Amino acid sequence: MGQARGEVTTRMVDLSTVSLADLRLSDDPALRRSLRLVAGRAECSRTGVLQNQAPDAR
Amino acid sequence: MLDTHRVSLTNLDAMAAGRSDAAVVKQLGQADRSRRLTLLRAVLDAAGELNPPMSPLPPLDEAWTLLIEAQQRDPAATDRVLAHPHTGLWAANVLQRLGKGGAGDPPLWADLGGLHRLVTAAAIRAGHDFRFRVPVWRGRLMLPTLGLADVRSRRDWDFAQVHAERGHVLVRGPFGSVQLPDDSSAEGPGWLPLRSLPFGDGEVFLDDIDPYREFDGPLPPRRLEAAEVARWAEILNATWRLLTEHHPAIAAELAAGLTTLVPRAAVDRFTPYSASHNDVFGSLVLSRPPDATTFAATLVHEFQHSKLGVLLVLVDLLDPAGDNDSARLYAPWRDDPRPALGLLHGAYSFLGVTAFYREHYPVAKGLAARAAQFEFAYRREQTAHAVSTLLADAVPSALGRRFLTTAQEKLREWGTEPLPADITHAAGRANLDHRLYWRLRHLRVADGVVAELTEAWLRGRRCPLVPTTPPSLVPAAGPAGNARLTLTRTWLTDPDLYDVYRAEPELAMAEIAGMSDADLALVDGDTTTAAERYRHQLTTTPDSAAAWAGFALATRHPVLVSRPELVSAVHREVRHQRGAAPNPDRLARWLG
Repeated sequence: MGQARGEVTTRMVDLSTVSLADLRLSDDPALRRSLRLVAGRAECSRTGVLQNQAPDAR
Repeated sequence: MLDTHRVSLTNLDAMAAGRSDAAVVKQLGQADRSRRLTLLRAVLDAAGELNPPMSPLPPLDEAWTLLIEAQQRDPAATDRVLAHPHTGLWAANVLQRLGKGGAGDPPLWADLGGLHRLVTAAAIRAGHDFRFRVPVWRGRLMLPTLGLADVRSRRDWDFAQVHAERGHVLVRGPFGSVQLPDDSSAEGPGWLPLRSLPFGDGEVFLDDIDPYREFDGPLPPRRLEAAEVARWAEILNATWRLLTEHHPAIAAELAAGLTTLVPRAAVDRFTPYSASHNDVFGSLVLSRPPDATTFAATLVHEFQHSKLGVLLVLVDLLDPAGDNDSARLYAPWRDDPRPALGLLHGAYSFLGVTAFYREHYPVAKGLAARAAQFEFAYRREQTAHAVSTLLADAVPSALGRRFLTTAQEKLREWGTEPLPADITHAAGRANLDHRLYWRLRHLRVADGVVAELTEAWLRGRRCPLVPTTPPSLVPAAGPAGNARLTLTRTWLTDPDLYDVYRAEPELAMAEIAGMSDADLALVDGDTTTAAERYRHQLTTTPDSAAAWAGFALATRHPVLVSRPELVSAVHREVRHQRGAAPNPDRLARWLG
């Protein structure tokens, strides 16, 4: 994550202009970094459901 | 090379200050779309490496091809399905499973077949002609954003064939077929459409059928009666009117990002149930709130979680190398110790709720105004406490420290805003009550300290210097009581009922679980009577955390207010050694 001109750049690739056909085949470095990011988050995903009370109070 | 999403510091500061902004929500929504697409690609890559058998479904690449065809035919219709909140959750869950080798339930082909259901829904919405196999659970096929087809099956997991031609869609299952109505939002034989309700210029789904609607799953459908749907529509409409009239920025923000409401039962009359998920943007599970103000506050609360969930994908507010995972921190709204990430989520949600009530109490009338003042006072104190805890005891990143400091400054500013004295007193008492209760339930004083103090007490000596070593955290199971908070809210919102409770304490005790006559005296402001009654409770139930917390609130002995677990622990050990309980006032004074 970097910071320039009052902006924080992130590791999430912007796919707003990418078609699904291109997404499947793309080897873009920014996409590669995002793939590693989501895979890492999925691997250690912890938080899950957020509620304002402990689950056993449901 | 593709660009990456960016977050402006101005927007980040606005979020940290509890401000609502539809433009920020749209940016977060775009980032979430990128995250979901990245997750889908990651699922395809991971499944490609594992190469699991997909029979009886077509290979994943065929599903992706159908999705490409749907997008080429109608990009907006395809995007609507891709934007469905549960797309990201499904992809994150299945990616996690693939990362662990794919073992588990349901069968992997059925789990991966979530993609087949997704692309089928997109192709139907796009008006594409196709035939495709999809997984069904207990004979039911959920087509995201469309509805549920009941094609019956004797197996838990089975498959059905979807055939779409010139706008007509037939689902052929193992033991039955369902023809989707030409207007798929209408009910038909074997077909339950996903309902939607008007919300501003758009609409939101009222999802009572998707097996994954409560984030875990699968769950059977729990179809609401038409009258109940009408009640949801009515209160949602009233909530929208309240928001647009008094909270236009919040209304615009919700209109830009809220997509799905999942109805479920309430916890009790003062605790509407609500929950969201950090991988699901714009969808929340909730009981039907009793009024528009509560509904608005609930929407704000859960939508804050949605916003932060996306922000935390983009940037680290907590240092990934720090201890932000262990459940060790006090959260003023939770009975259990929380990890830093959970506390951050809660703090951000209640920052939004505090901002909402701050705007709301000046425009509310009568009792509703007092209730809103209470919520503002109650939540601003809680949120300020949580933010201070995060800054002091968690490990924020540099950006997170900036975010939390901005929030802290805003809360400090709000903390100086005057409110009626009885309201701030009630809010302060409720928060202190929770903190005392939490300490009594979860903190344990070192055995050596308790032994030394007990010996000195029993020998009639002066109290030795109590070590400042913090007690250890020993989490207790189960929920704590909240009878005094329920009673306080009755005092605020329903004074007639409160008068009935005063006249007939037995009725109050029957209606409010865990409430005692001491609690009634305390909320009534009669601290002398309350102290006397708690003292009596401690003779019969000397380990009751509720009684110790109430006694501390009534007497305000300094050591009871600052370290109630210490007084309680020494009291217990003296009882154990001498066989008789010491006087709690004398013990507290001796320790303090």
